[in-house]
Amino acid sequence: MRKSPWIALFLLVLVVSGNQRPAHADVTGTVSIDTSALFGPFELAFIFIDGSGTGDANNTVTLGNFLFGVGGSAGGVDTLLSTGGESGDFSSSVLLTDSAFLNIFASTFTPGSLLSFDFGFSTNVDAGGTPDELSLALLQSDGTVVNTQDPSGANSLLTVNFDAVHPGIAAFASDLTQAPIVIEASAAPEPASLALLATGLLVALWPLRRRRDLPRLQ
Amino acid sequence: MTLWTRISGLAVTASMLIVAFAPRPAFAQLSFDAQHCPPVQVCTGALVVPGCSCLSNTEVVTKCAPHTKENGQVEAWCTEIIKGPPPLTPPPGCDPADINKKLQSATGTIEFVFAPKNCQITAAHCEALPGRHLQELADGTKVCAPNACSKQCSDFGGIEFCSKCIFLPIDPRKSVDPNDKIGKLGASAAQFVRGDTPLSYTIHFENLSTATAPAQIVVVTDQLDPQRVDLESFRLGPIALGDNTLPIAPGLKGFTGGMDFRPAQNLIVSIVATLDKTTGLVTWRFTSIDPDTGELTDNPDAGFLPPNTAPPAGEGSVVFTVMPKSGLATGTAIRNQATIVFDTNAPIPTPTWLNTIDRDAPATHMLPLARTQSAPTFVVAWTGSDAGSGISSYTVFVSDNGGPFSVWLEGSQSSAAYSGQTGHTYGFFSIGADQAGNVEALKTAAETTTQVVSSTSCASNVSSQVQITRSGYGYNFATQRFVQTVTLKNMTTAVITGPISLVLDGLSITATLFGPAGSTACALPAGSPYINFTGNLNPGASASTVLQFANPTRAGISYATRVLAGSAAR
Repeated sequence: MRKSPWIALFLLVLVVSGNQRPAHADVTGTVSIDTSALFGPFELAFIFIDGSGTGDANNTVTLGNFLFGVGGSAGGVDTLLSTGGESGDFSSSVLLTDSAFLNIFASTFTPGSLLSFDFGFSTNVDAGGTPDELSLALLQSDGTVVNTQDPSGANSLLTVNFDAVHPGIAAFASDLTQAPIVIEASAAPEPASLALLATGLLVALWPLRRRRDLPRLQ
Repeated sequence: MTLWTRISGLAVTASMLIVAFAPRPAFAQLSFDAQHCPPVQVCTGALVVPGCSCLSNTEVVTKCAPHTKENGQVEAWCTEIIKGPPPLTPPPGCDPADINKKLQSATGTIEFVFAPKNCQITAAHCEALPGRHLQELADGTKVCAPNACSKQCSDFGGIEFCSKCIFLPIDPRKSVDPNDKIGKLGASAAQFVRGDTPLSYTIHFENLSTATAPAQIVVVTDQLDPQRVDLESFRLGPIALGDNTLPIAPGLKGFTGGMDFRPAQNLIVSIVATLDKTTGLVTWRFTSIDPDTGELTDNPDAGFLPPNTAPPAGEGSVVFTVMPKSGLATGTAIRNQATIVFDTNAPIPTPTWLNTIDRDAPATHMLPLARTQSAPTFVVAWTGSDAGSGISSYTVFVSDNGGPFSVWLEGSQSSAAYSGQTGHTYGFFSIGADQAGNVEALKTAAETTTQVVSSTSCASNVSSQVQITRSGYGYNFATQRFVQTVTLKNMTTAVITGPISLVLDGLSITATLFGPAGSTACALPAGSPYINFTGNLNPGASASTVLQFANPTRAGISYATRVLAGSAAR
């Protein structure tokens, strides 16, 4: 019983590491949102704003492996809302570049039990003191944004500030959902790193194995 | 006297008898008299009938007709027909009434000054006159000058004389006894002139009161310098003998005519004025003619210029104008001197009149002002230089808060106190005028700018004591505003006393800070929006705020931060 959390963690690491990752990404991870409380069509909007204000296109965000859970499905791209350096769709992958000051990719979807997607992005820091920022907003079918606990007032479910090599990621609960769960990997491990990680885990788990070998009291 | 006669259908008036000449002498051969003037006025040649007039005009048509002499010979008599002589104004003269009239009405006097001795006014008289004052020019000449000078043109016999300021001589620069020459008044001892208006000269001559006989023949010559003056622009001016002035129609380079002194004196004086365009020599020849013979009078007591025992009977003057040659450099001197010969006496030269060309405008500029002024009234200063006559005045323009420029002041001073308003920004530029009348080109931009800030101290800039962290921009779909979280952290060991203001300098023009607490006016740069943090900021403590930007065009947003602290003005 005790070993199951460790094994699950180990397997999770392997799964995350083994997933197909966007190319040239410095930071990768997975985002999961419990959408079981949502009914009807909704829209996800990814907003990528250039901190330099010049559209310097020095960072890219790749989103893929969109899954909507039981009863869920991808919708169509909102071409009216989408703008700037964006391309792709939920069925394949989405690419955002800060080639304009404001870059938005928006697409409708039908919520299922769990929404998840993978992300990857570069981590170049803009000059001038204001970093690039990626945010995620949930819109209702009438276009109104779902309120969140985002203290900036932008009602974001998720924000990523490209202010360092390891960007700060924040998630906020909304009126309709819990805060998204973000599982982040700062880099895709090399095979040698995976071996070292596995070795470390085995060493860590070894005492558990020995304790299980002790005779049980009758 | 005034004579009316009809010539070619035009009524003309002359203030004196002016006789004309036919190509040949012996007016007695013509059967005309004062009641029967010739139908076509003859302007060159023999004397015509006393009492008839001949007027010259720039538009002259020469007509020749056969004339049968008494001996039966036929010869051509050529005439110059006057076409539309202009109405002639009375000559300026020098009588007190005329002087008084000028003094009372004019804001300046004519640049071309007739200044016989009896025209002078006293210093006391000048001081007593309204609108005038006694002034000493740079060369020591005392003049009666108008308080306000303005350009004024006067028409003398069709010749327009203009000047910006007219001075009446209190103490004539040079004696007119026995002769004198007065030219265009300029600035300083070098008599700087711009060179774009005619140089005007008056040559005075006088038969001394101690003389024992009237002058019968007077020849005035004036050698012009063809290298410095344009002979094509030469124009004759009025000719005065005693109380009489002969106006010369505009545009004439030569003149042949005369004056009839009868019946006061049984004498006619022929006047011939010529310009030799080759040499530049101008000659006026006055000859006393016996009307009975048409020849030079042989009466030693007869002459057109008597001893000057009753001025101005024994005085005379001639006038001419000529343009300086174009392209003369600043500093070029133009000297002019005349010579007067009375009968068989030795030539008497006049003094030399000097004018110096000044074609260059001065260059002026404002002295830099401090970026801010802590008091509404502050001193503004300017300076300049001029290659020729020197700067006579400055005109300083001011712009209030970027508005159009208007004249602030004019004068010769180089600084003055300007009274502004707190919070206003003032721009200044200057232009100058030199004593010759050259004016610097108008400028379009301020040469120095300053802002009047509150006389109280402004809030302290504590930017160096604070670490400022900005988040990236978010986008609020509901408000369509961009949002950004900014955090201030006190990096010092001392409390930063509030209120603390985050100032956004140089905010992108397309973006507007939503809900600012105000804009800076005291702590420069002015006009930057700011938001406030209430309370103090303790050492190591942080405070955050969310900025909201309206940015309809979705153009990039950028700005620089500044942190002000304390309760003083922002």
